[in-house]
Amino acid sequence: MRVLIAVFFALAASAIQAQDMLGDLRDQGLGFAQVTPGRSLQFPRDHGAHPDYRVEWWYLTANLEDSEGGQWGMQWTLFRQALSPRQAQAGWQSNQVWMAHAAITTPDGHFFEQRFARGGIDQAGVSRVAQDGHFNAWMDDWEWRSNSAALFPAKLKFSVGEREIVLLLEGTGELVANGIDGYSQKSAQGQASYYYSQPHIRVRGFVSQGLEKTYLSGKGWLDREWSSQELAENQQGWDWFALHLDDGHKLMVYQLRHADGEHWLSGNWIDPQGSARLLDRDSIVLSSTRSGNIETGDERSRKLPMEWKLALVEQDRSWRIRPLYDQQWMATRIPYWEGVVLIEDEQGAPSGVGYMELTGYQ
Amino acid sequence: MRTSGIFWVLKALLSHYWRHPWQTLFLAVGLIAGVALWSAVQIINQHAENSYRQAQSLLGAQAHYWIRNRRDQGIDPSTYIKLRRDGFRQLFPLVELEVSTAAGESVSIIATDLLALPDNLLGNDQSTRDFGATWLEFVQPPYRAWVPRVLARELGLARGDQLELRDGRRLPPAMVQARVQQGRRVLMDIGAAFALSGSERFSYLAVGRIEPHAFRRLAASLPDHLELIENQQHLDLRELTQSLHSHLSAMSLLSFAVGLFIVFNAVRFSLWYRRATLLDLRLMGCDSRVMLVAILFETLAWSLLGTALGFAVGVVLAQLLLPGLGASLQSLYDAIVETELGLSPWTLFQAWCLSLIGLIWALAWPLYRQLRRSSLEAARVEVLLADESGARRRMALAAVGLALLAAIAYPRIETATQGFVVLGLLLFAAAWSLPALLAAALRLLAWLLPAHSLLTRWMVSDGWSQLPAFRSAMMALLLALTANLGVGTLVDSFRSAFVGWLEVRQSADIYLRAPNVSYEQLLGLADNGSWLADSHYHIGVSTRWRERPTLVRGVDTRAPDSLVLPLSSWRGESAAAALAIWREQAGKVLVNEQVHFLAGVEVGDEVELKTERGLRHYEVVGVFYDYGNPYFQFYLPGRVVASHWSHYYSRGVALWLNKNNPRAMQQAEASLKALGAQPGDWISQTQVRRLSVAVFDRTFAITAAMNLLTMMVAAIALLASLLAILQERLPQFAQWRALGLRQSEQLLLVATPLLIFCTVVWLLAIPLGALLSWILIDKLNVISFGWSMPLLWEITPALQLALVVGLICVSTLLLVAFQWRRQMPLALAQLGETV
Amino acid sequence: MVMLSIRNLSKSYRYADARQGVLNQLEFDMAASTSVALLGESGSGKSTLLHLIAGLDRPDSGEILFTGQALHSASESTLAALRRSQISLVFQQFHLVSTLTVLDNIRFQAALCQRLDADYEAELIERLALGDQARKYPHQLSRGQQQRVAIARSLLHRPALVLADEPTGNLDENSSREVMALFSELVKQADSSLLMVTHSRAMADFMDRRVRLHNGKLAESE
Repeated sequence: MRVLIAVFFALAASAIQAQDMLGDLRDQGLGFAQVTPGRSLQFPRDHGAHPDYRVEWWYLTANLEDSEGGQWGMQWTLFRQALSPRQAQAGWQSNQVWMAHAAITTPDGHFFEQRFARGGIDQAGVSRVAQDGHFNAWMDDWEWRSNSAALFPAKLKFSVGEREIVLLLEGTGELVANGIDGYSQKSAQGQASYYYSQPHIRVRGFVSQGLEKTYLSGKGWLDREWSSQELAENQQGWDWFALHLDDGHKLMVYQLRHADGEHWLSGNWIDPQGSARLLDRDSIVLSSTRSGNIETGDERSRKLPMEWKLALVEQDRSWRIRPLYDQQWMATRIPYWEGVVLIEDEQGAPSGVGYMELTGYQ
Repeated sequence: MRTSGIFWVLKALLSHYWRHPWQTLFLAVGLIAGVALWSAVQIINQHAENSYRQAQSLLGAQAHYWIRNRRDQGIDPSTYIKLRRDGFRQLFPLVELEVSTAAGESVSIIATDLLALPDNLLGNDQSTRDFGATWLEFVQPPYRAWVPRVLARELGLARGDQLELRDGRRLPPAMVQARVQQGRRVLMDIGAAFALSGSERFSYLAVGRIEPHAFRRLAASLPDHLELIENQQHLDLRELTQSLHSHLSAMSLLSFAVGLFIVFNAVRFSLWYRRATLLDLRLMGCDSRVMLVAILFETLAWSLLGTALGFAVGVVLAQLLLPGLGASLQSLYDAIVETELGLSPWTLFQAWCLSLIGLIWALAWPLYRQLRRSSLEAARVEVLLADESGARRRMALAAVGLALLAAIAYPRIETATQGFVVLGLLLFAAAWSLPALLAAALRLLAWLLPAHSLLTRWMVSDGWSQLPAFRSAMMALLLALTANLGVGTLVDSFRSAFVGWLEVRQSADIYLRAPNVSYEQLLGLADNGSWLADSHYHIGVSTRWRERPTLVRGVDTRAPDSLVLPLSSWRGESAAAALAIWREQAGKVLVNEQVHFLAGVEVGDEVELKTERGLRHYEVVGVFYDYGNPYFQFYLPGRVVASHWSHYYSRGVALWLNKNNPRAMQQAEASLKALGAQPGDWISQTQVRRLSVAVFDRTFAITAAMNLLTMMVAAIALLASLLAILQERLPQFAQWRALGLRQSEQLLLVATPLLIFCTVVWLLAIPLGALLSWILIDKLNVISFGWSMPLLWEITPALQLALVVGLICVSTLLLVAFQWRRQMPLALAQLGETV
Repeated sequence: MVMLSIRNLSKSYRYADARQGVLNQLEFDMAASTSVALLGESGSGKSTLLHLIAGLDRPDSGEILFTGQALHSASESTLAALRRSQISLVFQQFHLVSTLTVLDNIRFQAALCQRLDADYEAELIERLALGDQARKYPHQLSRGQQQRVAIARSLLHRPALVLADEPTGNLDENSSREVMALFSELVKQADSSLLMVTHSRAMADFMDRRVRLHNGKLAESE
């Protein structure tokens, strides 16, 4: 799903100011490797980078609790982008650029950090899993390190400002291929990505700030996605949910908002055993029930849908989704909202936690 | 009632200005020219000052420390990546290159990784937005070379052009844009710089804002061959360049003074014409307080007009002068001055204050005095004449006072500013003594002329009538001529000393500085060929001594250039003997003139240097000339430096070619290439001298420009005076025409005193100019830069100026003759009418 | 012998877009060695006529012949030469050169045409009682004395014609008479002619002949 962020990353950095640049990118888009149905995912190869594709990310969110039951959230993402479709070169001539986001939702507030690095010089990157024998993704001193070629178990170390975060990640289920065997369609016009997830991650770790150390534990969700295509022209942004339900189910739902006509809705319903069921437009009912004014730091505020009602037709279930608190804005180069949400069932009883991402709101 | 009173008084007073548009124009031109020249320099100084203040930043990112290789061999990228992965995100890499274009221009290149610049892509500041549009192209092949607008114009580059270098290499396609603190350098990506230089090493790393604990950790984790150096450039630059800026300020104040003389002149004229108006206003019972308010209003209006227009012209002037000065500051002091001018309202306010003070002195005060005087009395000729001689006496007395003050202060001069104050005193003493001297010249001529040559005597004696009108213009001319001659002599002396010094100092044929070529290898190779006659391998250590950047050089004492090092003072009988002592005895050091003059170290003194083996003391046996270098420098034998500092770095090798081998140069270049030196790593004697002299000339280009402009202002003053005389005395001239005077005789009548005055001024300017240059060389240059040189006086500039003055006189006289032709018929027809 | 002959002389000035005639087909003859008073109302054109005769201004039409020379069409340099040696002018404002001594002022015009005459100079100085003032500067003299200096200057080179425009206008009545008597006498003695503009009947009486300018034309007057 987060294909869009990376596309935005590329466009906002260039095309906002220069229209011809946007044209360049479209042309260049032709030269990148294309996402087609029927390519089967292979591991550990596909844990590594795919530099022939334009954008790619390793995207982890985690809903955590401290010893006093306080709700915390973590987000750590490594984005890769190829600036041009030519053959990737090593060293300073490389056409690869890396971006990383880290955010932490604490009982005291939401904090984030953003980093950039050029590719080819090992300042940031993902190890070539097949050759190196172990998975490793890093930027400067932020690092996801696994002792094996698998993604888990792993140690993730990063920081947000003064806060140092160390998390131990353990996969407790199988990887889930989204869409059709990992081919995830994003619009009726054919935009698509390769997309797999690990929704079953046990997380333990701590946040330290100075001498203060808080131990945390909870559940994590990893998304791996790569693609070469941009948004369809009429798509304005999206609303995305990754939910851990207390009954052991995992639910991923997203809605691509169209300027005209119906939104593109899709998702995945994953049972505790790890088997997934693809959700399409007809099986998801998603509507916003409350809007909030978010202070976005650029001397203005934006109105964003904060509370939602989500229903699955076939499963005959519905939930109310609301943020832990509204102010979880990411004032990054491409600003968006992403943060911890709490889930209630029809009766209003707490029934899970998750992450929500809202983009494209002006 | 009162306000309408002021209105009418103002209307009466100000109507003068549109009745006499020429004089109004002159007043405006004088004021505007003065303010413009002053503010141009102030704008530049302020702009440079701002740039120095930003020297803690580099390309928009903070740079509080540098990480350098102790041996000046650059930094391996892997070391940098390791530091980044250890969490030192404050670091960013830089590559600096110096390349020569195909046209022989020297171009500085700075390269960095925009993605690694701290807070670069994140901030919302202007720099981020500027760079947002093009960074995609910037960071990947074929890359882009960002060229500041001014530099692009100089190099003739348009968007997309690829600058060709001397050896045929090309820079990436140009983008005419610049980042903050880029100065006159071409900015490109590190990848592009690596491709260009063929070597993958950083020149140094910069360290942005860093917390104390992180700094301690960084210092501890640096490999041994790297060192952390605090970036004190913002302090160093201010101190090093201060003198240069006070020189400029002094020149600009002089220009302002010259401009003010035009104002004086125009005001004198306006007073002459407005005597009657002032009298009438008084007779009609105008309250003197109302008149005072009106005068102040007039002054204020002029100051606002003069400041607004003057400042605007100043901005344009500054824009014209800045590129040259920026280039000089960069080549002399490594000071990066933004190429796009920044303006501060403070400078504008200062300009207004200055013009207001000037106008109160030149306009309001004389008007007020005229007002206070019994006007009936003031209109009478004898009162005017008495006034005139009284004014002359008062000015002469003041001049003597100023000169005495200057004489008393001269031996006590310690700073450049004090020096300029004394210079100012002297110049004004000269200017104020001028009317008395001109009067004396008239008296002397009247006495010398035979009694029967009535007409000649008349023409000379008419000087008395012209003297009041010419007084200010002549003072302006004197100041302009003196400044021109004085500064001209300084520059000529300096240039001749500098070129002579270059010839001795840069006697080698090739200068090589290539980190990847070892000296031993080079000598080994040279042994096989027959091209090398001699060589000199320099090493050096950068350090600080007495709070200033200092270079300790390890030189080969037996190299050809060391044997004839030009000394300005020495221990013992001769310079050669002192050099021999330095060569042969331990514990001796040579210091540059900056150490001698600025730090007060004398020959025979001991200096204490901090070495890695503790403090060491050395006896100073000689002081060597070191033109163009703003830093302290010590010369020690190379082995001493090598034994006291482990982390010395190579300062390059000088090579003398075998004179008997006609193909020595080609062989040398082939050998150097064979050793892996890049074509940009060495430079020939011709090139290095040409570059040095070019830097010198560019440094003084601004001086020449200021001199020229000041002369132009003085010329305008002269023209204004002549036209004022024409206006004031037209009825008188008509009367003489009625007596049968021919036009040619009449022109002669005006020209004779003018020529007498100009000759006196010119004659006076010659010794004054010499005095000025002597003070500049003897005191100010030494105090400011620590450079001494012999005074080189020549008559040619004075003769050239005589020609210039003559031309100015002739052209203004022609203009006057033309005006006469236009106005005389009416004046004749009006003869006999009561004035 | 007719020294000055004016025929059909017209001159008008533009005032506020309308031409206003000052002299209108004026006719005038003046014999050598005579003195003529030119009377007329203020603004009648007396000074204009004087200026035209001195060549300081040009007529619209008509002829001015001075000893047979046509002044109305003469070049500027011819006029200058004439003024230098033949025609001299005395004004109400004495127009002395303030930077020259009284003696130099007296010699001024004679020096211009190189007709210095020490004897005549001494005589003029004596007659005009300027002996004690010779070394002084003009501003140190009284008005009457200054006018006497101007008179001496106008006569020393013995011009054929002296043109005087209210020469005593700046003086009180007694000095006026005194200066006028002396002036007319010296002119006669020098064998020069004098054409004097005045509005004072008393001053006119010193002259041989009186003419009155009225409506742009001259008429003999008693």
